[in-house]
Amino acid sequence: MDTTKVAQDILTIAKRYGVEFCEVVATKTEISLKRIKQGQVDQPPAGEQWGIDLALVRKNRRKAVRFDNPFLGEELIGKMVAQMDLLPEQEIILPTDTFPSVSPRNELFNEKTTELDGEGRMITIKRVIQVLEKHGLFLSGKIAQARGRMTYENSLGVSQTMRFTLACAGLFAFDRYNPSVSAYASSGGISLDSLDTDRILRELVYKCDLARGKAKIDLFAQMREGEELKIDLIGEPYFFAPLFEWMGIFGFNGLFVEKGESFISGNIGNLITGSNVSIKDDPFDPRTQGMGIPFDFEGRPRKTLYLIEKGVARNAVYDNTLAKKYNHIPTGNALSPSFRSQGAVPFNLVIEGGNTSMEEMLANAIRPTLWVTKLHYPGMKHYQTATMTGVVSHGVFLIENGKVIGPVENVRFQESIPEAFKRIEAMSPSRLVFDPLNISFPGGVVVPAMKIKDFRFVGSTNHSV
Amino acid sequence: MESEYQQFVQEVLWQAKRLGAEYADCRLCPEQESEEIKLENGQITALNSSRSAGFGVRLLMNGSWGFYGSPILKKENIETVVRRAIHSASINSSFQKEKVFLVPRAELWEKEKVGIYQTRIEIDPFAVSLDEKLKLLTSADEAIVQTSKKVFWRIGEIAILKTRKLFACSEGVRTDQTIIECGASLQAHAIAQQGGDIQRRSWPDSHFYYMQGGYEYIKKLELVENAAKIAKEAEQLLEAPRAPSGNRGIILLQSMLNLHSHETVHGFEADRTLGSEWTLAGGSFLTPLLSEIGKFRFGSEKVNIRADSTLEGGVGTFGYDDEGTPAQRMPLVTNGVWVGLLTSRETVPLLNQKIGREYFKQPSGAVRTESYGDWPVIRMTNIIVEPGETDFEDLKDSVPNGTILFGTNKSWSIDDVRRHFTFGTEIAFEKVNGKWEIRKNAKYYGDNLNFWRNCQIVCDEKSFQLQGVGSCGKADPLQVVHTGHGASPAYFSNIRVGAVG
Repeated sequence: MDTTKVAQDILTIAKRYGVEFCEVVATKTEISLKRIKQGQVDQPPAGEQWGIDLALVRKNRRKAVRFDNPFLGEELIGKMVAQMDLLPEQEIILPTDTFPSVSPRNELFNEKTTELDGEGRMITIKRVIQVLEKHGLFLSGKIAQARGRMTYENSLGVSQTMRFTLACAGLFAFDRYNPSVSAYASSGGISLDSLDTDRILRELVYKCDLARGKAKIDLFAQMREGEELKIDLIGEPYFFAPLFEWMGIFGFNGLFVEKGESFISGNIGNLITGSNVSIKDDPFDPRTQGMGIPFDFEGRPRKTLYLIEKGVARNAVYDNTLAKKYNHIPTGNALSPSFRSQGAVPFNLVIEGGNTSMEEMLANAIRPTLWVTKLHYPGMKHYQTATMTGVVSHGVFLIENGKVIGPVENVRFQESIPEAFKRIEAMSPSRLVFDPLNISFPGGVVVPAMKIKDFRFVGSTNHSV
Repeated sequence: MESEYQQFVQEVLWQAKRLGAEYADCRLCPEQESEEIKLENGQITALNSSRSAGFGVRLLMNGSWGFYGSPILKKENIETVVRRAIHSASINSSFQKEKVFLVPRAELWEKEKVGIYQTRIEIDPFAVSLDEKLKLLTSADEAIVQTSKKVFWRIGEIAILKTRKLFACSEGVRTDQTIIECGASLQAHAIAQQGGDIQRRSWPDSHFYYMQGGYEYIKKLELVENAAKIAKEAEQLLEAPRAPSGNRGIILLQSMLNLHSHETVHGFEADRTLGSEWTLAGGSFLTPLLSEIGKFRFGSEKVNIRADSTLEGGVGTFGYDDEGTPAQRMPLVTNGVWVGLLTSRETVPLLNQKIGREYFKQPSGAVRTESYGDWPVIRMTNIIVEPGETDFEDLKDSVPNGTILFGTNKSWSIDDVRRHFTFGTEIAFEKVNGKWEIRKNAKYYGDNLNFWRNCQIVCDEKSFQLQGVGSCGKADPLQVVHTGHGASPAYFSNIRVGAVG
């Protein structure tokens, strides 16, 4: 049973009930994940998942239902229709656009990666473990793989299907005798072959070696309570990727923009970051490495859309309903039918980078500079200014005069991200970061490492008891 | 448990044994059903329902875990699913250095016994018509409209959830549990002028609004009455001064203290304490202190925290956890001293090894999954900050001028060992000349041990409030479960406060 047949069967059933509009997203995914702790598999979640999300419009009423069993369509549609008839009529913005089916994109799919038996990943992991052991390190983290197929169908005749494979490795190295020495690196893409384990190993070993045998510097140890620290920052792409994902959901989302709660609300056409910042939602950028989703969850073919171009806010993203309500053009960023009230989001953020390598950034850091790797627990403190917070971890170092002074205790930042982006001094070439919390759908962010002047930190982790 | 399901789980366990598993368990979900209604500015923007069913098999072979889940609840699918779990265990065992060991169960399970748990409800929320639910939300929406012209965005939501889950394992345990939860919330977003400051108020909270029970819980929320209150407060916040900066005494109201204890008690999860979650959810400041459990001073002597899965109405209440351990009350902090952790059968022996003695005899019954297809992990149940003896009104009268009172939570973040935190609230009040004046964009932040050790007063049972958070994320793939939290307001001295935005 494939997703297209399931979606078409559901449309057929819905039409029997005389609905004015029906749309179905049917997804089938199989995942296999190995969570590794100290060189052995700690948790092996795996399974097959169906996700069917269906919306019906009938007599000016709309209802959506999600279910995970492809055989339940008939029963649930009957129940939905009976409930809908009891509801008050609403003003419903019905889609009218039809689109040609987009050609299947082979680059989303890798035949070798469809094999989920785990043996391919185990070869990779065994090699990583062996290399790390030679350096006195143990491996923790995860390696995951998935394959899936998604179909969108609606009663206007729109029909889209894609299949995909996914692989990612989010790995941490810890010193065998001192687990406070740690580093993180990840790699992901549509195939197992895209996992750049050589780069991961290089980064893990190098950062752990830098931290070994040195006490962590607590930047706040000598500061007065409540005093803040402004220090230049060099952030790895891993650090910036989640910040951009948050900005995608709460900043470029047309719903937040129209409510006035986004940092680009009322700022379209205005310079809001440094002119060296360009951010687009682009499924076609080759740096997405095949993660570009060809259509959105309304079946609309996707396109390249500049969100910020040379520092100027250009666009937010809209689905059909939001666009018509606020007099915009739908951008190909619709969410699945049950989630439309949350607005629309970018799926493939691409942040243009520069030409400065990480090595050059570090070598050119003359003033005290914090080099950070991973972001833990990001949070939005203030939506209108996109003031965010979070803690940096698993590879934090103080740099001065182009040299690593030593490892640094985890620190918390609080910063208006658009304001910080007015102070970007250097950017590396951009690359895909894909280490999701749920490997079930293509995604990731193409993002550079960046050097930002005077980043604001507000505290550090205190280990004294 | 119906005979068809009995036979199904029996077949799963038999296949697992036949194929070489030393231990196996099966989580079978015959039905999970939900309904959500969202009204924005008087219009229905979401009318959603969901249905889920399936089974997951976890097993041990050669001392290694294997797992597989499937939504296809058909007998002919059993062997395939079990074989995949076996294959997974077989691959994983090639890495295994230390075999997984599960602490023996406390009691022998009687043959044929099925442990039953069912939420007690007065009004079945699925039997209440959509029309009635909509009328309630519409009335609340109208109350906001009538109260403030500055409120430009109004949101009202009702969510109901029913989960039936069956558990069976090769040691003979069988459970059959049906849990019903309800939640409702309102939000009022006010704006000063086009492009100006925006302030939000919510009731009872924007994320702490679930309870286990029937529709009677939603009725008790008094949505219409409180709609007017939050609309007025949202408007008042537009003109309010920003919160001051400095070190102050602070009072946390129930929902903020509930969230603070939520973020703190993540550090009491045994998997984090043992380092298993370093690579995802994070670690715990308790890790290097394991040998000091039972004597380490975590907070002031006023601080008593327990995990309680027996408490009626909590969203972390059940009869048995998702590996068949009975529900229980487990002290975590007693008179300020750290005494307990949230544990599983696998983590108990590992913890005792680290502690150096048999401190834990049995698991705390804290293993939970979001769904049949998810890997079971240690989660919070209901985390209760136990009430003290002070009346809330007396507390407000007795604290010095300059004290800041923090209301409903708005933003949160804590570091990966649960020490450095920052929390922001929708609303705050500063005591000035004996009166409480409204403040906006307030935050408090600092070191978590300092915070709990500076707890001076916990209010009494009269102001105790049990709530449920609907969005606690953990595990990979991410699982979102509901966790219960209860607290009375409490007073903390010498805490860093400030404003954001």
